[in-house]
Amino acid sequence: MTAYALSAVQVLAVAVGGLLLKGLMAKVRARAEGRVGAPVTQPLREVVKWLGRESPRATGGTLMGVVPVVLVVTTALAAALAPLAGVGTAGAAGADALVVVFLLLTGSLALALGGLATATAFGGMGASRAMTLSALTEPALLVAVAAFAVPARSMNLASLVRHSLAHPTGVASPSHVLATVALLVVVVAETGRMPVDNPSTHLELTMVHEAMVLEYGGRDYALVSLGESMRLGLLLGLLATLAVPWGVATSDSAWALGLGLVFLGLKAGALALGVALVEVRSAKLRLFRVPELLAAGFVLAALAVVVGVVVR
Amino acid sequence: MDLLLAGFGTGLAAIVGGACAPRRARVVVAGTLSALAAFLVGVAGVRVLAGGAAVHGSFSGVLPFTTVRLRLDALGASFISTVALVVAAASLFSIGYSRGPSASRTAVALQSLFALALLVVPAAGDVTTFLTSWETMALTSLALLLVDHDRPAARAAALWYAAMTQAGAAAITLGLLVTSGRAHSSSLFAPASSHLGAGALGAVAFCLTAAGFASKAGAVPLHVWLPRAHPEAATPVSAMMSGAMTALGLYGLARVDLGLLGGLARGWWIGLLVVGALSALFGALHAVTSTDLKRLLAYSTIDVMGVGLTALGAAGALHSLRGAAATLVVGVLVLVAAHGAFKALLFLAAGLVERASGTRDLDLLGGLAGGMGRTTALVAVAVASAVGVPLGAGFVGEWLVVEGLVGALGRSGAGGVVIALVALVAIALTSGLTAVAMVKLLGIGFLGRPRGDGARDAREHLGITTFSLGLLAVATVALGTVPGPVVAALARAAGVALGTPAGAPGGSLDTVSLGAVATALRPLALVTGAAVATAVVVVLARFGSRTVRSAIAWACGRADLDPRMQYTATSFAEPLQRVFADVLRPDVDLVVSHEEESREIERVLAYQSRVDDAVERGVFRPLVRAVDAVGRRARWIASGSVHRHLAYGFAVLLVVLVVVR
Amino acid sequence: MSGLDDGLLDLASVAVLALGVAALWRRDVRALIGLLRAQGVALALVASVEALAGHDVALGATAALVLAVKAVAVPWVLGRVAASDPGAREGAPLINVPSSLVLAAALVGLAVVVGAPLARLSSGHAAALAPLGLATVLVGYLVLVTRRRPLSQIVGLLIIDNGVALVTFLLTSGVPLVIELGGSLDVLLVVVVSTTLVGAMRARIGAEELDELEGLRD
Repeated sequence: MTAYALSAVQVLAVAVGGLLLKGLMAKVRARAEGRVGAPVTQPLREVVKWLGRESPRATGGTLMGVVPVVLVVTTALAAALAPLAGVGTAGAAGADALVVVFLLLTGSLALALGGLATATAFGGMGASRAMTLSALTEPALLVAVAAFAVPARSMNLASLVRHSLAHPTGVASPSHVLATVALLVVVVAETGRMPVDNPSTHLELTMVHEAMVLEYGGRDYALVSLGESMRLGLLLGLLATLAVPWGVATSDSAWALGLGLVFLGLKAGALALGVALVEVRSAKLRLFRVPELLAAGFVLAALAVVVGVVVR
Repeated sequence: MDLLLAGFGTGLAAIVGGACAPRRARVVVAGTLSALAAFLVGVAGVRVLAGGAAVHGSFSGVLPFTTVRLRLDALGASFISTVALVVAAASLFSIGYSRGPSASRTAVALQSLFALALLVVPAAGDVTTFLTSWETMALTSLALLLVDHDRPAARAAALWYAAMTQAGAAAITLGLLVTSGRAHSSSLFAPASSHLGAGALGAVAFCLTAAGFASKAGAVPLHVWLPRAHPEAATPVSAMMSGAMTALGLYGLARVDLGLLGGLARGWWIGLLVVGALSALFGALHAVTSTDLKRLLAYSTIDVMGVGLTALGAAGALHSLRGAAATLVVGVLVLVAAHGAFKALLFLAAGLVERASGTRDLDLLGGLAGGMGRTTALVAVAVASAVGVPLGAGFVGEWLVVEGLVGALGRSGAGGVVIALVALVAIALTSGLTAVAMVKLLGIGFLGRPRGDGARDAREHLGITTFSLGLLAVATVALGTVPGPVVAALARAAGVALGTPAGAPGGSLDTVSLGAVATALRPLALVTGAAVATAVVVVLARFGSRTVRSAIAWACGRADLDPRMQYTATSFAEPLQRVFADVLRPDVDLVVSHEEESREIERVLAYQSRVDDAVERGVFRPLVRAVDAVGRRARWIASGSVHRHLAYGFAVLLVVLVVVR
Repeated sequence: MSGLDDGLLDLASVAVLALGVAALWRRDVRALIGLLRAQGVALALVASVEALAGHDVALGATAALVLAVKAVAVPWVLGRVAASDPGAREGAPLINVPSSLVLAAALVGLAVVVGAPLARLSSGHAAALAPLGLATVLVGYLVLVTRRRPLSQIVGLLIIDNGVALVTFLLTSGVPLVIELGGSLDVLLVVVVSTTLVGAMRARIGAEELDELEGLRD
């Protein structure tokens, strides 16, 4: 029963935490630019507000109602499986890294199809760009995950984190460090942050992600927005867990799980802070320069695997 | 055995029925009998897979000069089940679909013969039977391409196909002759511990058979026939070619090269891996840029088969890591089954779309979800399976392959790590590109608004065609949600090729597990989770607004939206085409014509972009030209003079007399 | 050696390689010089860890020398040339950046496979890392071959030199101080001469990219 409770709490934490992280990153940006900025809870309030509004749906109406649900559900499933606050989640035996990756991919596919269904130029443009980037991210993503999995000899996230906790020096090994950096590049690309995509842009022609979701409104948009920030929270949390697994609860006691949740918040928050500070200092890359960044991420991941053989 | 023979007998009856039945009943009789034959053979295959003993039998007098030997073990059964599914669905489909030239007496009989040959190949017990059925399969599919010989595209495709398939068959024949000569046995079922692959002769046998089988599976650079032939064949035939015939190329590799040629040097397997990786990437890239519906599907076949070849090559190269190799081979077998189901579905759906809208050009399609709702839903199921959405059939295969490779990463030395890493990278990039191609297929072809009149007026007719699509969709979903028993059965099949199934993946009703590795796939748990999560989200969302208003698209303020403003298949693929321009070498033309009064004002802008097959252009065109030139030079040999031809015969007789003495 | 030393050695050696690979990614000449500086520091770290572990005073001095030459002097000289032409960026390299990065990954794989005998030349943890040095040399060659600007090419040359130095440190725990001194001075000399040449070229013909110089042959 604890397993199910843990999963439910994790989903809730990712849902609320993701929105707060989004607010935190916006706040950091505002402060760095000398503005006061909106409160950290602003994204949360916005989602609640939009939930109460009617949903206008254009061409492809039914699909536009389905896509947000698919996005939220797949992300929630991934958040329920992954060992974020504790390793004993429901279905932890099936918490394979590949399953989590492909659950997230399912959400991206749904968004892209939704973009094409709207029959507008911007929807198609966003879908095309997002799919291009997601295709190019995949090698770096899989190889980085494999680099994390090699020492534990398992792609199962729970056993991976357990192994990592049992061998604390492994966290400072070169291949671990390289894989962490590679995964960071992937996370930046997958969550559409700078320098890959500008989440706060209002210029349609430079949009990648936002262009896909231009046509959503009201409750539909609230769910899309929630799904996206859940994805941000999940990816940052997962990266933090894989990079520095300390604090993740291995026992079932409520204290350990609560502590795990606190550590998760701290780690993900620190990571978000770091990403936001990098964002402030960087300009958005041209779309056709992004492959260079992704190739750099890939080469780091490949180095992580190969170096793992030499440094054994 | 009885079931198998009953199936083959029904297959023969289907041929006779197709040839003799009256015009109106022809398609129905042949289609039903072929489907029944496939069903019977499929049941026989499933029984062997489910733990029954291998069945075998030999029959003299069926073919002149030789005895027909049949033998169906778990490996053959795994392929025969896939083939049977595809053949059954395609045969049922043709009942409601075939008309015109593809309903002629010859075409119907040939299609039944093709179906039968496909079913016999995995059950062949010795070299002769195997080669006979293989050649029958190749020739009938060639003849089926020529059924519609009025169209130049079909004729050109047939020419390419004829050359490639005959060269492939010749290579396989030679390779099998070398092997059986060394083994002093014509059986395809030598003990796995054999060392037939050792030494130079082993390498020769491997190269010949691997080239022949890989060309059937569309491996680069021997793939050029595939994107021409598959789209040009009649729809049920292209489904069978793509879903079943290419898979038999992998069957040949697993049966002969992995099972028979033990002791082969590692380098050759690495070669196969590299060829597979290149094919996968090449196929995926071309699938992304293709705008012809069926051509896209054909290239995506090359891509999936390339992944299969990569995994088989890795399994051969990492043979010493039993568990990883077994996982890889099981992954390939699952991939083959999944691909058979979803690709046949997609090809059949493409046929329906072409008939309903009059075009297969994605740039003219769109909005089919309106008029062809059920077809769209079924296509969506197939697409989900193809891109590796969890709970899709394709994901299970991809998961096993990736797990096998990651397992190898942790257990081997530097060489093994590099091998596994190369395979992993190729498969990862391929999977990303496949997702783009499939989203394009579904999003551009079926969603959005119609880009042409044909697409706007397209309607679907429910009937046996939709039923056969549904059959394939059910198979896809079943394989994706309850893969455990299938994987357990396929692990036995992989054991046939690898000798010992130690460390192989296993499965129960709700779990696929990986022997020693502490991870598992639990699709049913995911289904439950997804259901609960969906219920929660829907209920929670109802606390918010429930009003849904139909509105015109905002589109940043434009009210007069035109379907031509949508992204097309070409523009959707443009960013990737640009990123991979060095590989694809597209011909891009921008023609600007100006107003007469001023050079500053453009009147018409025409943008054209075409991606030709670089291998065809760079390798085969020059080759064809060279052969052509030699042929022209040698024309004097056959001058048409009767005396000269008689003199040739006389000269040969003299030579024979002198040599033989 | 203790576990901590081993860990530091691992990190520093991998850093030398990773910084070499990063040189393929960055286009800004000044960023390249920064990478070179960091690589010098990592190399000096390798030498000093070995010196501390082996209580080898001469090796310690070598480490200091490496730090002085590769992390301070050479980047300073290069930096002066770069400062005379602010905003200098590598144009399009001969092989585009993503491809050269993928190629670099392949080269590292090759080095690890081919360099396995190198790792067996000497027992101990350090020797096992020697293939990383070989990989750095190959990556440096890739920089040298694919870049158009003379300054970037000098960087490539120096990465090769750092790779060679890494191999020597790992395999033999450093060469005698005199030889290292000679080697370092050679490197410094090469850098000074070539940067002077670059400056002179720029002043006299204004050409910057090496391909543009082909016309001078006639």
